[in-house]
Amino acid sequence: MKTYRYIVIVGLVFLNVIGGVSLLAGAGGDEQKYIATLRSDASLFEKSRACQELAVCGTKRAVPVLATLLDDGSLGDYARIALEGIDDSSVDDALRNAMGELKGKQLTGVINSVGVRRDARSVPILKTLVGSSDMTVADAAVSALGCIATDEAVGVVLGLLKSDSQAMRECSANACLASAGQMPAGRAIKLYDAVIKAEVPTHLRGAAVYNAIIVRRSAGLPMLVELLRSDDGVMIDMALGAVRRLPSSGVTEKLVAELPKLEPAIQVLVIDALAERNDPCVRQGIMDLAASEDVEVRIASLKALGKVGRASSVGIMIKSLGVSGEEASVTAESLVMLNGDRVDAAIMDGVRAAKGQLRAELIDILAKRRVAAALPLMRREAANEDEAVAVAAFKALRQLSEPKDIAKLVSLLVATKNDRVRGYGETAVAAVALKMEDESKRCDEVIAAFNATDEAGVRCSLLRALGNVPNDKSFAILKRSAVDEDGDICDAAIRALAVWPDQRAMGILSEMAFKSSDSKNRVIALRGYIRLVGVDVELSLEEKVEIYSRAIRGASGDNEKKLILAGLANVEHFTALETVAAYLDEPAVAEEACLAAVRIARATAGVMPARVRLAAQRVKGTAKSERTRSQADEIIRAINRFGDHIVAWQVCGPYAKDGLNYSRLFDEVFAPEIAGGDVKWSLLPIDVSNPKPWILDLLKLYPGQQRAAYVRTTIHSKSKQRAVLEIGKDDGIKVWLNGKVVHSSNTAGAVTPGADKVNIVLEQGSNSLMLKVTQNTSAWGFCARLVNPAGGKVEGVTVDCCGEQEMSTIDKSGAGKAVSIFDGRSFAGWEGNLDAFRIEDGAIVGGTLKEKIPRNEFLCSEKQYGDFELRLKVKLLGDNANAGIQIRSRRIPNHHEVIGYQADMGQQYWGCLYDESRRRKVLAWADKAEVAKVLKPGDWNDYTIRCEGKRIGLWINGYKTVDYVEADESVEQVGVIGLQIHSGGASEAWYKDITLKELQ
Amino acid sequence: MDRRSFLVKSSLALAAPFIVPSSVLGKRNGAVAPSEKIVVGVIGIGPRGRYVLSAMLNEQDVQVVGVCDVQGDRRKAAKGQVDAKYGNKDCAAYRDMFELLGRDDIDAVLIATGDRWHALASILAAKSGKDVYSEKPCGLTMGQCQALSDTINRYGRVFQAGTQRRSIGNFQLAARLARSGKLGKVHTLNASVYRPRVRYDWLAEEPQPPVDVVDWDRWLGPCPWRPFNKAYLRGGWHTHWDFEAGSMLLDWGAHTVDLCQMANGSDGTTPIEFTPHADKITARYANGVKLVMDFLATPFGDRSPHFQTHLGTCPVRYEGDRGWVETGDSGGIEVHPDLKVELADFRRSGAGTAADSHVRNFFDCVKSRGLTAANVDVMRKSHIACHAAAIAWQLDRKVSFDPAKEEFVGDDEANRMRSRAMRSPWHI
Repeated sequence: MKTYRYIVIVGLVFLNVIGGVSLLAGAGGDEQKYIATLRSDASLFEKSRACQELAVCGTKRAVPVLATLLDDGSLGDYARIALEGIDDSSVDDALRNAMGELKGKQLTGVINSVGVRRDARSVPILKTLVGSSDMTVADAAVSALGCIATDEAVGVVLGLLKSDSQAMRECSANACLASAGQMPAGRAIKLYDAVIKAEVPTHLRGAAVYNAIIVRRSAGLPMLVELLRSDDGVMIDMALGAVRRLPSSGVTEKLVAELPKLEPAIQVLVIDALAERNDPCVRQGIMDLAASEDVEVRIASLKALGKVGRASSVGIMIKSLGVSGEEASVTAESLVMLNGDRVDAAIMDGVRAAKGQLRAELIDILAKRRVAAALPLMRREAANEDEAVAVAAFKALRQLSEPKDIAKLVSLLVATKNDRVRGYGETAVAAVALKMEDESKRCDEVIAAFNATDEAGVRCSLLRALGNVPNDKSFAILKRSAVDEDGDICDAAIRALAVWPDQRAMGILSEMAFKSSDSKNRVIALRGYIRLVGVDVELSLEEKVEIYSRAIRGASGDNEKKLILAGLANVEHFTALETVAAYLDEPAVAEEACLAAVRIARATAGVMPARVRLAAQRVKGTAKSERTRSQADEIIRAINRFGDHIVAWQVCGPYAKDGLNYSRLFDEVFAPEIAGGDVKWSLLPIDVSNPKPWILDLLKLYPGQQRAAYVRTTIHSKSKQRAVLEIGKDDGIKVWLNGKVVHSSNTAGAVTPGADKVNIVLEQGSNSLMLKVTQNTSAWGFCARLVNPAGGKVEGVTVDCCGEQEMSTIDKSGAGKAVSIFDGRSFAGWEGNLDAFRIEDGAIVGGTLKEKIPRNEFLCSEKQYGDFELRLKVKLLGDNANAGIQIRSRRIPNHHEVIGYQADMGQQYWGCLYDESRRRKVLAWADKAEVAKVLKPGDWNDYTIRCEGKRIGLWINGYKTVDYVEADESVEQVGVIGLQIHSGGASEAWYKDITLKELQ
Repeated sequence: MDRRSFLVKSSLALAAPFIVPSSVLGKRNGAVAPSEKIVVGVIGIGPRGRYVLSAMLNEQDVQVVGVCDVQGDRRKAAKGQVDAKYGNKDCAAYRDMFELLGRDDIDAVLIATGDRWHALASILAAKSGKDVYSEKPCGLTMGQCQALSDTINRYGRVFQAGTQRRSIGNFQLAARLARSGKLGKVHTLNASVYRPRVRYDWLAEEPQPPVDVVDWDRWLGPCPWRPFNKAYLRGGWHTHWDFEAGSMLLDWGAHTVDLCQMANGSDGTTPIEFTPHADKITARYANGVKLVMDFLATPFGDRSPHFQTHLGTCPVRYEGDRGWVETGDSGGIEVHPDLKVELADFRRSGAGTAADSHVRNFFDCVKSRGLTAANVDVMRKSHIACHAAAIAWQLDRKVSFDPAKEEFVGDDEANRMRSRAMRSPWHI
């Protein structure tokens, strides 16, 4: 019998876990069963489950047996779970009985349940229990009385507020608050007031005051005001909370009226709280306080008006805007936020009435409010004689004007006489021109104006604007003007070219930088030239260093040298550091050299630690700036901590794929894992300010989650030797040494240095090391330390991540280049039934659309291949056509069939891996729906087949359809490539661009 | 003047701490004197706790002085984290939360225990005069959420639920688009959730470790007793009926349903009807808007077809008759093509898991006593909505719900599932 029930329950539990359908569902009829379980000698677990079920399905029938369990050390709590849910007075009877009999923990539990059930008939018993010497029991009894909250219960609790015991007083105060919370205001107030007077900790009295105020509604105001005058922070907290929550009906007005009498610091807080009440009647009061004598109060009021103000508040706010300092800036922010009808119009009226700075500020506010209706006004004001007003107007026009307004804007600029204002006009014109969709037309209005005037000042202005609207037309004008006879025009053009964003200007800038007779122009051009070199993506770091080195050697003055040093500072390459270091001894530029050196050293500390440290030490001895010296020192200290850790890494990433989390990304093959994959490696920066600078942070570089990155470096070893790679990782890590996976751990967690120890053998000479690190969520990084098998230093080893050696995880020798195995013209290298295959348009075609295909035919490579990556283009024509590419296959002697894996194509088989004439089944199915998304039926498709060891991967048009690992050791892994046309209806299989890269 | 009062008043002199953008508050340049800092303690601290703690430690005007956990190694790790940040050894480590709650100098606590302790610890903290930032789900049952909300209000405390997405730009923008009518009349809100799961078994009994390593009795807290097994400790408690809120529905639902509530302007109410299906739970608000809790088979992987996977975890989607908006933890946001212009000023602010702005909002309100972004009333309704949905799923039938009374309509069985007795001596 017992066994049977056990099975039932376990079975149900099992169903639950699997099916996710609650046991509780439909359990109503099972009450008798659970009761029986409780009466039997079933296990504790079964009984506990029965109680939990009875909590939902139990009735008074279950009460007697549950009551017997109340004194049980383990089941007592479970029995109460059931009893608390049963709506029947027999439960209360049982609990009251139990209170008379139980002690300790069981008694406490029952008292708690009595409280939950609010059983008024329990009060007499609870009254005696509050005197229990067991403090836990007494506490529970007081709390229960607090829940029950009848007059009798409350009487007991109130009495205890005056207890000698501090703990009992606190307990009683809590119970009073609980009782009051469920009472009408009149009764509750008495309780709150009692607690306020009691000797209990401030936070409890505070809670009572807080409630006493709120429950009194407007009658609570005097209390609130008194509280606001308190010197006690806890009470002030409570008062502020109450201001926010005290129900309205005149309260706000009265509070506003009280405001002037409060201490300014409190006024400030109350204003903020009042603003949150969102009561229109606050507005006038706060507007009045905006004229307070206390500056903090004025500021708070003006801030609040941003929320509660309307058009009627604009006048007073404009007045405050005229004041200086924080008050004005706060008002400006509020005016920008202000809601309501006619606010914009009121501010525009304000503009017309205001003068000077104030007028300018109001224009600025209109711009921030994006008031398009103010555009005509702004255009008028752009011609204002007051400089500040005109500047503000042009700034506003820059933001609000549309491309269609450009002609008006250009004529405003042309008409401007004031040089400073003109600068803003230029910016506005350029910004609006840039909003134009048609890039080629952006400069047309400006150029028209340029050609229409002879006035040098205006022409210069327009040239400066053109410099910020780069296109072919503006460049042509600037280039021509750079050699203009007029010195001012020439100067303006060169300055514009100096900030030109792309490489077009490099030639002319280089020429002017080194050949111009005007020293000022030389410096300007040089600045532009250096900047362009810095952002030129075509140039390698070494080339940049070379350009800068040449420039600095030819530089004629210190200013030029400083500029070039600043350019060098951005080149994160060790040779840049060497170039810079040469100027550390040249006093006139030493400080700039130090700055540049520190910057480069920070970036390259991991690459050449010993030499960077040397340079940093020199900077430390040379730099005048305290900050530069301490930065140098930080670099030195970081390098001193490197120890045996590998810190010289190149990185690439991040790699992610929709639908794959970090764990599944672990085995997803990305470009760095593929020989010749298109990868852009960059230096992985180290954080010299980290106490453990050898922990490399990937998250900083690539913020985000569910992704992967690769890092690589080269280890040079003087001899073949054993070593241990000690790794810490966050999250998964895979390690390739010389193209072979030597370690793989697909688990998440924080970096624990040395947690993974990998035994490796370093070959004599260069060893390529690559890590793949996956990212789940939050932190992401790794560390790697190289030691000898005894845990000591590895001798004769250097690490260098910037070597030119091509690294690849698969292609160890670098010899495995993809080669074409079909020449497009002949069957050279192929054999098979040439009646079934022909060559057409540079492709191999199997079958014909003119007649049925009587049997399977294969065109096979003469050579055999083991590990390789095969890429080809395929096209399949004809209804229900089928074909495929055999790999690692062999012919059946004297037969047309072949044996081996087939990368399938046709019908539902596209992208599947089939086993031809061997297991005769699909070994791995592709997701038909996914394939359908990428497949181009009747057209050319890219097929990629990758065989490496036991693993076979298939891709169609870049989508990986199959990733199969052969489990059967007996299956051949070497063989020919075969192109198939399957028997069946008239059909053709086209194959072309067949390349194969052997791996290893 | 006592320290707390000084804290209130001194903060004024420096920069009035209200209305101003949160970035101004507490991020004043330079050091803040210790007496002006908000003093914080932490109760229960695993990985998520340490994450939120690190956000708190970055706040200039906050000083964390104590941590508490019933697991020795977690206690030690958390103390280590705090001490490393401050460069001293001053952080106290407690096994018993009452020692921490008994400290008068502590103004606020971070509660980041497992689900089972959230409400009780928050309530005990409120009764001790502390403000509370509690991780979600804030209550194991509907009843606990109600009691928590009542208690916080009764004691006038500031409370922030750890539903930090309320404070993150992309989620706020999505809700704004829905509420401002830019989507037209909103008809459907989609909240991503885990496929609900629950188990009732006990893991095999293992010898109980010494109390300093794991205080098993305290770990269980208000949950009924069961034998010790270490697998529970590190997240293994998930999906167990006694320990996990709402059959896992609240794990994401506390965020995503909450966001839907915000988008629907329903912070003060809940849906009135919940219907479980094989792959989702649908609910209906009184205003007719449909809320769909879509079960994701691979929440951290492919989230199609319900959601656009690239938008990251915890996605939500709001649909109206003029367009839709969808967003998630990537920080990105997608809209109906016609609504692209609404994204013009949008700047991606970071991952949906980041707690920084939410934590800042909490501390601003600790000072001003204002309402937090995820205050206790907001939490109450959105958590209750999730719990009601979980109960519908557990019963495997449609249920009707009265948002005002917070009870199921004419459904005794469902109503009895709203709360559970606590193990002695715990009560709320």
